[in-house]
Amino acid sequence: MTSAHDLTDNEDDGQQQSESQIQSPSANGISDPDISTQNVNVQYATPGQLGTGHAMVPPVYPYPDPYYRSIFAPYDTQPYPPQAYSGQPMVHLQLMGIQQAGVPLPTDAVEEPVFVNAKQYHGILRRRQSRAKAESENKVIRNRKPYLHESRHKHALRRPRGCGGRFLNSKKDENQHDDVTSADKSQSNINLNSNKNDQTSSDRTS
Amino acid sequence: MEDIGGSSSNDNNNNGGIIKEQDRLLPIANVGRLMKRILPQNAKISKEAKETMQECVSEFISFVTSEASEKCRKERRKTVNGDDICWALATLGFDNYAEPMRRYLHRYREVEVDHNKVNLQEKGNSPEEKDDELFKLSNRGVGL
Repeated sequence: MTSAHDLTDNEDDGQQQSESQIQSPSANGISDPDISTQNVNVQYATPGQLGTGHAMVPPVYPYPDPYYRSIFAPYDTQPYPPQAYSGQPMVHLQLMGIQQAGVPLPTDAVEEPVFVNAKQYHGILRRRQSRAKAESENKVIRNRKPYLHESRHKHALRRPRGCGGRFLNSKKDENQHDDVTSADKSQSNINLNSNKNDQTSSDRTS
Repeated sequence: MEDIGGSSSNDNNNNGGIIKEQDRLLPIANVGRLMKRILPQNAKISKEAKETMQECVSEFISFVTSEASEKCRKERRKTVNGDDICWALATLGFDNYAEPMRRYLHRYREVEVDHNKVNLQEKGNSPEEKDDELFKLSNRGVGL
């Protein structure tokens, strides 16, 4: 039962990301053609010039939306054939020591460009835009809760514990956890509850 | 296929615009269990390691799914299916993962057909058997 529920949650998560992704391309179409032209030049410049162009980005915004929208715009307005497009970055690619070609990826944190797999370049930029959009809308809660359900937390607090803080009536050896802080205890309790559910389901099966 | 669509609509209704931790990340207990399978018996995993892996695997799922979703958008399709995921893995350069995933998908569909037959005969046992066989398939997948 527990595993089935988790699978459902995973599918929901996938659907959410799909929907958020569908909204992103429409935003790309609104960008300014002049800015897109400039960014096309920056796109195919040498790494040194890329660093110079990167310096123009204001450091206050880690993921400025107009910047990334303008990056995506040229691909929407000027659809390149797959092979023709793949040919152009190959000219500018630098071979790493591991004989792996990488595309320079703009990053605000590091001054030097980070090289990534050319196949994943667009995907990474798309995901960055989705994450920036989610953060700008204050949709993502960054701080983690020590527990998810109040009732389960209270039940775990009421259970008797032995020396070292372990539960007395636990049967499995999987209860071992490194950290002993209060948050970890609560998290361990959640794990114990899930293990308990597994025991219940296994009993039903047999 | 239809279940995914149904769950997405339910999810839209439930979420008031805030993405909770349990909706954004995989459950930490399941992640820890998967990490434990590859380690020796007496090894321990810190909570920080589980949380870091939680972030990594959740982002990877979103990364691959967004690539598959982009393909569906261009083809005017609404449902992301298993073939789209396999295509996205290959397109992103994860060729070593795409091939085992295709084999898994093929066997999954075989099991699906068998269970539809079993479900016609006996309705009560189908979910448990399905879970067991899928679990066996996932074990074989690890072997690949």
